[in-house]
Amino acid sequence: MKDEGGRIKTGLLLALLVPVGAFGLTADEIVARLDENTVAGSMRYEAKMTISLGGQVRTKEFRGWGEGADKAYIEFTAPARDRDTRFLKLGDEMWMWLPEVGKSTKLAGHMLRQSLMGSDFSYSDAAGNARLRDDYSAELAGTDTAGGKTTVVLELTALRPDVDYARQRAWVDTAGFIPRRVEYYAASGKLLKEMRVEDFRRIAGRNFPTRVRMVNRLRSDTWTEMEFTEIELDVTVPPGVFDKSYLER
Amino acid sequence: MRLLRLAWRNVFRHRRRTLITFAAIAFGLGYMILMDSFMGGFEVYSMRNFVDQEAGHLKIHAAGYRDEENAMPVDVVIEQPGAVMRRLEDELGFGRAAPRTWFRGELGNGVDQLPVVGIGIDTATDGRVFDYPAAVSRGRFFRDRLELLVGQNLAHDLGVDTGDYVTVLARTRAGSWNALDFTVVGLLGTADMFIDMSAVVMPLGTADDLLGMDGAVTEIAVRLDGMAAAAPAKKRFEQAGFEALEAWTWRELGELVFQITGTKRAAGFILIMVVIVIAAVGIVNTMLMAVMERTREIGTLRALGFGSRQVVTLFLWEGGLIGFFGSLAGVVIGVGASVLLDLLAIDLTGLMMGFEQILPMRMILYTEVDPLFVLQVALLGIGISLLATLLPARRAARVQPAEALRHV
Repeated sequence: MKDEGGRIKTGLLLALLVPVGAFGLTADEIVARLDENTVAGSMRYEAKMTISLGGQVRTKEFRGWGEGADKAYIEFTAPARDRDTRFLKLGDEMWMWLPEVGKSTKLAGHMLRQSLMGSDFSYSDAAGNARLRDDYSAELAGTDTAGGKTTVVLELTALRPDVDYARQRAWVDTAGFIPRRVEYYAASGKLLKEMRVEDFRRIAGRNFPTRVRMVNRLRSDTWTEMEFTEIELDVTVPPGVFDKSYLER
Repeated sequence: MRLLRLAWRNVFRHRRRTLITFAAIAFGLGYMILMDSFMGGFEVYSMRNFVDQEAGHLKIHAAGYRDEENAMPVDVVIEQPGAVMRRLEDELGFGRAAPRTWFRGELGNGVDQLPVVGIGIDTATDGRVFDYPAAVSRGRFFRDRLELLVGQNLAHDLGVDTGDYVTVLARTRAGSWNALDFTVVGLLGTADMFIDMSAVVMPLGTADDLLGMDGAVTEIAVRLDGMAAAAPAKKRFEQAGFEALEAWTWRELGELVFQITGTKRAAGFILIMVVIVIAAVGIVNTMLMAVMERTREIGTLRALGFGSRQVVTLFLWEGGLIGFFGSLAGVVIGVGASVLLDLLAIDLTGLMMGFEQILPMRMILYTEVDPLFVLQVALLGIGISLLATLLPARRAARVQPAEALRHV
């Protein structure tokens, strides 16, 4: 117990001594501001996904609803080949509805790890809407420039072993609390993916990223850009959207 | 006896017709036997491959592991594989056992990425059940932690070779992403297409690190004394009361693979029926021709006092003799060709390109002669000959002597 107390005291002391961010904010405060911006209670959107794979560029369009971190509904509208392909996420479970199959299939664990419609986003990347502070502890790691802006670099370490990425490094533009660039690392320390926020919009009092580019760093010559062409935050989701019957309608 | 002698002479008197019928039976039966041995060989070969390269005779999993087909979860695990293996040996005598961890992941070479099945194998014990060092078709077996064996077809698809650096990406037991860099030190050509096309093999300890297994494994593979020992061994395992563990026999594990060979077998049966019909029609035809051609001869026999029953018997003897020797020749041809093909062991994998997904096997033409089937086929050949002769023989017996003698 004595030891424990000592450690806490040292921790406190260190926290006081460590220079805080450029604007006098702690790492936790920056994360909190990030979460305020990027995690909405609910949302409705229309989006365009541009997938580049080996020099070939394809575009897919979809629309969806989201509520909290647990509920998401996505419906593809273009191209014709993918039209009416629908996804429903409820907690840790996910279902997919393919028009040609005519019934929904539950995506098993290993399928959830695969990429969403051939993009560099996994299903869980795309449907996830969790607050950073629920999954990561943050530390300041200096300042840098990213996307032409001065940014604070955050070192994020997963709080639990079940978080998708063991570590993230985020370049946060403290002017608008936008993550300009985020690197996602494996537990082994290997860089897996890199995300860049290329555009954001002021919506309902938030600076919400509306154009995001994800690059899979284990491959070359592939990236995916996700752009919200239309977005509303903190909307009331019509009842039934997160029902399996809506998915199978 | 006199009739038999007469029949024997008749058979040789009508040399060309006899030869045609004899050949029809011989080749028909020979073909049937060869087809059956081919299918039997394929079945035995594919089962053996499956057992030797993938399944062992018995696999022990944590209960519920196989609930989701092909999911290969890394969070439904055997927690203390060492202790379980000791119990398996002490209580059941399953001494040849090896812990393994299977998982789904992605293999990347920095340019491309392909979904793969990862297998962590324990170099100290894996040889009790499998022989992967012998399956290395290029390069060498791994000696170090971060060395990887890649299925040769998978390596070809991804464009990697020995000496290349690759990354294996997978979800950990807890659910987080993890990735490790490896050097490809060897390619695997196991003759089990599933392994050759989709597997990467690494040391068990490395798989443990990659997946955060904490010493747990997804299975313990067991080798027994022969394929037939699996079902009783499973029963004994279940009676021994291993908590939260379940056993699966190679046959249960390979259900999908063997279902396919099962359909092939059904298709083969239809083919056999077609052969039988053709052979029967051939025999009926030649016999009818014989009756037509020999109307005068039959008339003479009748005029000499042969009863119609004797004429029928004569023709049946003739048909029976041709059937017997035809069948005998068919057996010689069928079994001979089967044995010869088995010795040649022709590799048909090239012909199967494009079908690997359906039939994940390397195709080497082995045959397995089923003695019971050969006997059945031989009896069938004689039986069909007799049956097919009956109709023309009846017809011959009805011939009126006077009419027949006038016959041109």
